[in-house]
Amino acid sequence: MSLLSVRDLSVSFRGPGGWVPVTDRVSFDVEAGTTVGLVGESGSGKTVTALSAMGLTRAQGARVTGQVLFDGEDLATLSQRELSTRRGATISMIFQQAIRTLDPAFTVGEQIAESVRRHERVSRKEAWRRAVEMLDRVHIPRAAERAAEYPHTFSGGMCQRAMIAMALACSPKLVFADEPTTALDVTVQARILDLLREIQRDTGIAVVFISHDLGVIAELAQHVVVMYAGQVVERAGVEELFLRPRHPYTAGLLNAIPAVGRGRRLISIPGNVPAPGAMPPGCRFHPRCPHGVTGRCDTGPVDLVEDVRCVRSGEVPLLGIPTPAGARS
Amino acid sequence: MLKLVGRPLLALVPTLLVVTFTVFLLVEIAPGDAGYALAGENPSPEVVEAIRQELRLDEPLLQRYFEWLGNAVQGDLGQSYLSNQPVSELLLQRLPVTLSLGVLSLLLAVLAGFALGILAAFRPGRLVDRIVTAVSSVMLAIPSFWLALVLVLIFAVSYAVFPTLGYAELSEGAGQWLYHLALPALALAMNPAATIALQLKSALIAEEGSDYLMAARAKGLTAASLMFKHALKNAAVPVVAVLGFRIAALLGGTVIIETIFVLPGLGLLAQQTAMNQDVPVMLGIVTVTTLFVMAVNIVVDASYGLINPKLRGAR
Repeated sequence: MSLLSVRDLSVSFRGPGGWVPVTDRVSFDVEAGTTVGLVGESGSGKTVTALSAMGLTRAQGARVTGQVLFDGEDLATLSQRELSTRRGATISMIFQQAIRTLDPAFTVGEQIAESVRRHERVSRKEAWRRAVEMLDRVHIPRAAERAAEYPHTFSGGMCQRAMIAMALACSPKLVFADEPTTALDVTVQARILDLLREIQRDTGIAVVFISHDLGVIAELAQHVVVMYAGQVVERAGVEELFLRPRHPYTAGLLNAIPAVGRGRRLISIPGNVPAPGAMPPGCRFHPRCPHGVTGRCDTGPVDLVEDVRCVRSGEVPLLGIPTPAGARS
Repeated sequence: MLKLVGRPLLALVPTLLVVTFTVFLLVEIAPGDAGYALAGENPSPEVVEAIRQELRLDEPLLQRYFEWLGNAVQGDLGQSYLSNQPVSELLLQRLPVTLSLGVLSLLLAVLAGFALGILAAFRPGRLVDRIVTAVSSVMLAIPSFWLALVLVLIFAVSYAVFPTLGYAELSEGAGQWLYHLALPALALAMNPAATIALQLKSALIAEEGSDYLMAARAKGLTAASLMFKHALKNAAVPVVAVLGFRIAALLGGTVIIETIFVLPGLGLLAQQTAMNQDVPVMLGIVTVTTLFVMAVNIVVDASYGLINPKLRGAR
């Protein structure tokens, strides 16, 4: 059995004219100790899916249906009080804007220790010791001193390291990493990715890595879930997905990865992700799809069949690329 | 810390000069003078002139001002025209009453304001929030003297729960002290309580959507911990700023409230001296009040640093 099994997770938010569906029957599995990449443009529902799996959108008043089978129980049926004992303890989350996700009014150490004390019966002193240990673990220099400082004295990369330390302080089994490197410099980005890889190697934690960048996903993930406009459009192993994409949207994302010295022209996908509540009929991607056919793609809703959501699957030749990791070795 | 306290202390000197000189000037411009005020009804011009000579009101304004200033710097605030009592003695007598009233109403305002603000912020837009917002808006619009009179009508006249006027010192027992101060403190607290409630509510709601609260929830904190520990500490910054202004306004309010309830504090004294043109006492009150407001400002500024670490400056 998978560690995490998201089944038909649909999320709606209350809008001015009633409920607006944001994600539609999202399903994917995460095996213990592995990394799954959740990829798609902004607005495709990746973050909402992760937040909803942890019950965090329900806390904001969203309507959530479906199952989130995690570690032997369905998180979707738990109350907020019950969920609060799981969050941070067995399932955790790293956010995109680390600087804004640390409370400016408390020291970094206090915030990590707070998480430890919430889930484990330890003394204040022991919790503080653990906080310093975690900061050291994520390679923050002079961890004992820095723990007593406030987030505004930390750089962006340091904040993200502190955030990672906070999320992992209680050794969860799975962590959602929501674009943890997007807001950072490229060099800092690479170091944070190294850190995540190192932690995963040492602890065997499962990671759901959310990104709009397939290049980053290729460096970390074994499996990839591609989302578009609130739906899963393709699921595959990372090599398979890169070499033989089966959905035109996946192919589009692959061709948008910048590659140095490979002489490949960068092709962006024209248009934008449709807004929730304004979905086109039929395949949600067809207005932007180079292979769209009137009468077939724009009629009924398209189901996910054999891990791909495309009526012309197998009909059109789609160009893959070698995974960046494979190209390097 | 030195910067935080030192700068406002330097600003104190010109402020005090301007404020005291303005009082001198206003008394000069105002019709009549202490001569008339002290001479009784239908005085002969000779009597008035004699009093003026005695008080040296015939000397030029600037000369009198600098004379007063010279003495004040040495701690001598002069004597009351009316009673010949030293001004500093008079002030020390009256100050505890006003402080009692001020501290009590401030305490009431903070307690009620925070309770109402938090209550409303828990469920924004729901019934509780609407009631709190409506009540606070009404409380803001009601002047304290009107409220004082209504309170007296209800709780002192119709139901004799509290006295209509008078004061008991704390040394006569906390019960008596509170018994006499309850209505005036309530009347005075209403306005700042409403301001705090509305400010805190909107500050808390603004914090509610912030990323750090989402992250704090994601690490397993409970709703109560999110609200009372994290959101409240961040929302307190603008509220403390407002509190500083309200304390100064509160001091102004004591003049009216002390007059209504005949509480022998600085406010009542200020009202009486203004009627009698008792300039030395007036100057004493103004000096003490200015010092007090400046002190409050320093405390408020310093407390920002305690709440908001960013203002503590780089270490």
